[in-house]
Amino acid sequence: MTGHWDDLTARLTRRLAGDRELQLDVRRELHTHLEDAAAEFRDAGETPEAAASLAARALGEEGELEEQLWSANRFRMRVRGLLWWAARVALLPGAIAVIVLLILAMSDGAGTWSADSLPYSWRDEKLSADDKVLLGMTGTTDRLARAKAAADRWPDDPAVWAAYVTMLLDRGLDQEPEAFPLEEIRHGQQIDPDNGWWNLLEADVLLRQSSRIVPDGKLTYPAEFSSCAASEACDSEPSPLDRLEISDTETFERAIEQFYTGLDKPLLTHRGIELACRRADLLPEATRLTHILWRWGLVMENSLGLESHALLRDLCNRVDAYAVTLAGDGQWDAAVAQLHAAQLLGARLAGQATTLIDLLVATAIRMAPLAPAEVLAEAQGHPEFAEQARRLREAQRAEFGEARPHFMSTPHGDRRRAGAYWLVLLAPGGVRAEDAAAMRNLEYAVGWELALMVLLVVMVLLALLIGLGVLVSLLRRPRPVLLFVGWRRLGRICLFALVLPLAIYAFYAAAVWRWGGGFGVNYAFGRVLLEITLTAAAVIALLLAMGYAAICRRAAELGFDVGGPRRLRRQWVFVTLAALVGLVSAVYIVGWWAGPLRPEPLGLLQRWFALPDYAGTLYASLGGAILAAAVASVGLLWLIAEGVRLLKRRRSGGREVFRNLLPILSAGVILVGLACGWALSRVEATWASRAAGQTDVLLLSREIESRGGQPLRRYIVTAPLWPDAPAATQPTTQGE
Amino acid sequence: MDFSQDLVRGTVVPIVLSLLSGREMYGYEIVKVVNARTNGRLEWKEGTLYPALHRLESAGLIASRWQDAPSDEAPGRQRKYYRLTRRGRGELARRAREWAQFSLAVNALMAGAGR
Repeated sequence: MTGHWDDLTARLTRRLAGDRELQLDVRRELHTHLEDAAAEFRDAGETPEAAASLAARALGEEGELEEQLWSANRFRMRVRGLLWWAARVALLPGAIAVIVLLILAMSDGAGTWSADSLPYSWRDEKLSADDKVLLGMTGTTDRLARAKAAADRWPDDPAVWAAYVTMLLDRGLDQEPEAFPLEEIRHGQQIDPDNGWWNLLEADVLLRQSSRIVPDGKLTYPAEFSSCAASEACDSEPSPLDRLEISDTETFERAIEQFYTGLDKPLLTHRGIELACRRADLLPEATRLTHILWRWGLVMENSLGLESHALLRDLCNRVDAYAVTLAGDGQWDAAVAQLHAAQLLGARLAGQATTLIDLLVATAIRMAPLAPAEVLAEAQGHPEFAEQARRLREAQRAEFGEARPHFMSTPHGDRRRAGAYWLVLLAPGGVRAEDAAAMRNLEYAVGWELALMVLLVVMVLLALLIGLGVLVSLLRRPRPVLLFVGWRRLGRICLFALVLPLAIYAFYAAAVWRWGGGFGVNYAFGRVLLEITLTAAAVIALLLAMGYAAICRRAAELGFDVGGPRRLRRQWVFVTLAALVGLVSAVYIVGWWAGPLRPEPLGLLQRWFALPDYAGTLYASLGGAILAAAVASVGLLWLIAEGVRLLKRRRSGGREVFRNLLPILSAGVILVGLACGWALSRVEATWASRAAGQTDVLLLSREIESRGGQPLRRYIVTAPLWPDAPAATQPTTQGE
Repeated sequence: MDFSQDLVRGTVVPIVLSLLSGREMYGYEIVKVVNARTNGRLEWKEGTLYPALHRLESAGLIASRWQDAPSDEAPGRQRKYYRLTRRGRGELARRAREWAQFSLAVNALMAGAGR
């Protein structure tokens, strides 16, 4: 009798054949109606044949009902047809488009620092042509050409000109004295008359042209003056003092005059930070990690004045050497005055130092004259001066030794919170955890974006693989039916397979962020990788399993069999394997937080086996990475096994499962990609805007304070100069 | 007394909406309830119910879902149950008011016509 009803319902719904799922749905509904009606007739005493016949008759006139069903569902068929077409055409390409969109957004501004590869979001900010010149975006990779372009555009701007001169000095100190940019330095003096920095540069260039440093034949530094640490093997040979051999008296006198002129001026600055501040003000707000790197590159170019520092060091060496020459010629007071002036320069440079490197150069200049002073005083028969110089030298060395750890090394507790960016770019200097917080969080945001990308790419690859199978299966008849599993089931899949796992991880990450101590990605790489892999594996497994179950249930509603969801007990191999890997992963993560599996416990091993510092992090990272690979492998094996199983069941609906998993996976990619991509981009933007102010000019302009250099600066500025020394006066030269 | 088919057809929608306002029902159940409550006087052709249900579903006034039948009635079988949507409730209220006004008006006109 069922066969009779099949024919009847097929005839009644034949005009709905354009929408196979709807047709099957209506047929199934009419079928259940006939079954209920026939059952009632049977209960009333009719024979099964008569009951079936009466039930069919009670349904009404066949032609009229067919027409009414067609008419009632016509609009619905059109809408569904349009939606299915859109789903078929748009879902998978849409998923790929979402990934491309996210990749483009993430890589915004990545690449070379040229005007052509400006971050996309910055292009609308209308950086003017002048702004680009000031930022060095002139389409060339040559730093000198960039600095020259700005100097040509603003030849009377002291900061721009100073950056240009600094770049000219970048060719090093080994070049011929005539090759130094004397004309450019003199132009700097004209446009920046209150700044003694220009005079000091000219003084060194002129000293180079008029004299040379030679070792003094008689005087030497004792071995204990060596600056090498006590634990190191020092060369015990005494090194000779340097003296100056003057070849051009006139030029030399001009050089000394420039030195004292520069020393007397109110300013002593290379204006690097001033230029960096102006550049930073031009740049739009950073919303990506790549923007921070852009800022760093654009703002910091030529901003540290490193090249001019080398010249100033050389100048002071020559002044100290000149003091040795003067003392050798019997001009003791003049020699003392020279050493005094050199120390004074160090103190004044320290007072105006903006960056840590400025302070360190000033400290070196301040400390350098004391050693030759001590030796000279001994040699010239001034033991009281020698003693005072020795005490000063030792006090300054002690002060420097005490201050050094604050800014030249990072405590382990801070290193593990610093994040990769800080440790790579700012490794030589000390990093304080609170300075690194914004950048560390930004690194996490980027890490999550990368993880999201990997998750989406895996899902799309799966969808493409399935899509390939679907294409092949569409060539065979009957074509697999495209099913709509229903909003309720889709909502459940969305909630349990996507929202819940991601929300749990987001909550966990936020809790760790808030209360977990804020470890940097560099330190917690293994743990983070494992957590992300577990989350991604859970999302994919739940999405596929729930999608599969929904398809099976919908197919059952329509009266055809696709096999039904597999019970876990039938997959005991994978369940056991997954449980084992999951357990080990849980032990690792708990152990990491509790301590035993964190990098520190390796400390003991490190001491025993003299392992390097990074071994602990490597060990913990490797553990996490291996476990993450194990999780991914189990997931992959499960996917392959399930895929093969479905392919083998050609006649029992495996093709339907594949065809209907495709839109579910694609929709999942679009949903997760858009929602999580948007959320993570907001997180990244928040931390990028906070980190921007801490990673470039603002950080550098206050780094002496933030890195504990203030006591050293105070000492260098206020420590006594040469004791009881006569006022620094310009001495007579050797030729007079 | 048999009602004219036009009259019966015109009342299908408010009757279905009204019945579904109480609880979820499947198609055959709706037919049975109508027959039971009207003592068979409102004799529906059973097939005509489904196009009406599909129209109401297309219009968003009712929603459907497949659900297992009670095990004591039809074990192992599924039926398609319909329920009223929020929009359907509004439509039912509107139709009820309309019907009340309409029947008042018709009664007023028909009063005394049978004397």
